[in-house]
Amino acid sequence: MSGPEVEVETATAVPRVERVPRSHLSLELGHLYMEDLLGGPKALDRHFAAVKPWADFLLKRHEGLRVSTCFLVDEYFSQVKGPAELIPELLDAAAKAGLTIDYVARESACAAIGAVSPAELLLDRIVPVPAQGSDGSRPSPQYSGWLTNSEHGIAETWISEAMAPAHTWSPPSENGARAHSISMDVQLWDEPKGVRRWSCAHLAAVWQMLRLGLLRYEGRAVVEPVVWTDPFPDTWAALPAVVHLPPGGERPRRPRPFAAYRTMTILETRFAKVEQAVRLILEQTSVDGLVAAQAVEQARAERVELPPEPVRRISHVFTDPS
Amino acid sequence: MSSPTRPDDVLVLGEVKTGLLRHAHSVPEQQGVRLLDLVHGETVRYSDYPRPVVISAERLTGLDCPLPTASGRRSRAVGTAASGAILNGGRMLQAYARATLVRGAHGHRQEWSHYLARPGVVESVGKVDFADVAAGFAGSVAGRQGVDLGAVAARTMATVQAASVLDGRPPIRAAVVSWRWALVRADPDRPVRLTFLDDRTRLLLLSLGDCDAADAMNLVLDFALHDWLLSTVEDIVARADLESEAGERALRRVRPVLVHLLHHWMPAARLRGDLLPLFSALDRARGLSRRWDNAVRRIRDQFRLAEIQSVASAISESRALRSAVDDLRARSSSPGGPAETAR
Repeated sequence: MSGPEVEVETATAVPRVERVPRSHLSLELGHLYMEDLLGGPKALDRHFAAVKPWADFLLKRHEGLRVSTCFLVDEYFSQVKGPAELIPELLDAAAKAGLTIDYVARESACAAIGAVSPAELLLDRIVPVPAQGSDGSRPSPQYSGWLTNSEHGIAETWISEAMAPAHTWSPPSENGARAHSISMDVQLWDEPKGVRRWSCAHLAAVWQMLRLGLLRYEGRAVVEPVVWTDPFPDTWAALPAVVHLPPGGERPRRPRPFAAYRTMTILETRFAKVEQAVRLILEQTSVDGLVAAQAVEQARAERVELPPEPVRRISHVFTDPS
Repeated sequence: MSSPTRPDDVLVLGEVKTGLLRHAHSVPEQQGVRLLDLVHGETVRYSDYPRPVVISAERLTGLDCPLPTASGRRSRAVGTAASGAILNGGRMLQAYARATLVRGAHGHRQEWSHYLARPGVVESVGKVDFADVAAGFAGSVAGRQGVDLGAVAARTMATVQAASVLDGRPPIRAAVVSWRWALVRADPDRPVRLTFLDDRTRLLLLSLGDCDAADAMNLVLDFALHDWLLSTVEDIVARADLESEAGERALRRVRPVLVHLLHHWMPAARLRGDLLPLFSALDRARGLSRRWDNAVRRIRDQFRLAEIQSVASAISESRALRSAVDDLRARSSSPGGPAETAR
């Protein structure tokens, strides 16, 4: 074609996504249920003493790289202690063990941050793994609050000759299994008294996605850590979703952003089941194309190797205090 | 998306459905944006140029199924189809599903997360002949059935149409028309094939040397939209029976075409320049613009005719009135007339 070419662009016609700064690794220094905290500073001391050698090993392995540490406070299901009491205890216990916590997050932030629900965002990004023979004609299971990795044959019923309902049993079969199945059903939410309550597994999956910086709402980042130097409030609701606690109260010269290319989570073995559920959810989660591409490009610029699947960016250490 | 190493390494399969929004009035932009909010937190795009259009974010559907083949040969693919909806002019709704087929590197299915990292892509498991699949999907030969992208598109359309803000009273009765299409990145000299399966299903087999899947889909969407406009208008004209029906009634039937549809005609307005020759060729093959002009001229002529008729009858009416008045005057000026008596 000859003659000048005119390109017209309408801003609202081009989706954009906000870039989030990333560390190399987001290291979670263990997790405790609210009830565990009733043990007071002693329980926390024991906890961080158990985490310490593993954290040291990981920090050594990432020497010279940006590693941010975080701790997630479980205050979604119960609130035994307020931030004014708990956070200083937490920071003291960590410091006593020689550990620094850069970011403290509220678990309820995985359910809602202001008007945005990260848990909803993740739910809509789940693409259930198809059984063999899925040609697109079968509607995806209307989210019943459950996600599975398998086909189940156990619901087959028929009326037997004696007119009594009978059940047949056929074994579950894992979708995409190589030879043998490992079947798992995960509850994502329930609605007691008509109010949506997210499961621990789903919130933990959201937590991983937030740490990987892979969730956006209308293109905007979902979590904006807030530097906190004031005394901590009495209620969790008065605290931002994620607070940044830089040593000395100042932003460090070489910042270690909250989000990271990869995450490492140190946990007691009792959390292994929840984390397996997290992996099942993330295996069936599709990341927005632009967000995924942005992370890849960021990594490439820093020569960081980044697997395309989010589930391969998360690792765990399961260990119990000896 | 993986970059093709051989020209025949990629095949795009898609289906587009076009219909009328179940609503009495055309929907303003902001309402359209809410209507097409199919993925929570994802941005719905919109633009006024060159015509108002609202574009939803895409959803993914997991697939693990046989591929259609013209030869009847068996082949399997695993991955995801991407689907979405587009609202044109606040009135015409299109839903689509598409999947790009690439050769899988392994003889078995991978972890699901592997496929989710490649949204909208399906990978073959085992042997596959792309030309055979393209012909089986979008050619007229009845071969082996496979992936049902039409069902995915239909569900997407149903989701939008089920919105409670829609009143379910569209001003026109219009069918949903499907275009099943395939793009083979191959010999660009191979002819494009257009097949009309029935009133509501058309097939389009494209082969282009170098073309992005998104650009190809834009072409199909645009062509499908205008094909739908033409079919809908022709259908209304046929039902109005302009030859024999009494003027008034026929006009009442074609009036919605003038009010709701004609101004949406803007073929190839959003296409990349190098696809225009292909669009023109399709246009000629389908007789799209020619038949559209014809139908529009026919409707306008009908209205003009009615106008002339109504003017003519108004003239003859006024003539009759005048002669009646003249008559009256003549009678009143004659002696012994009623006017004299009154005085």
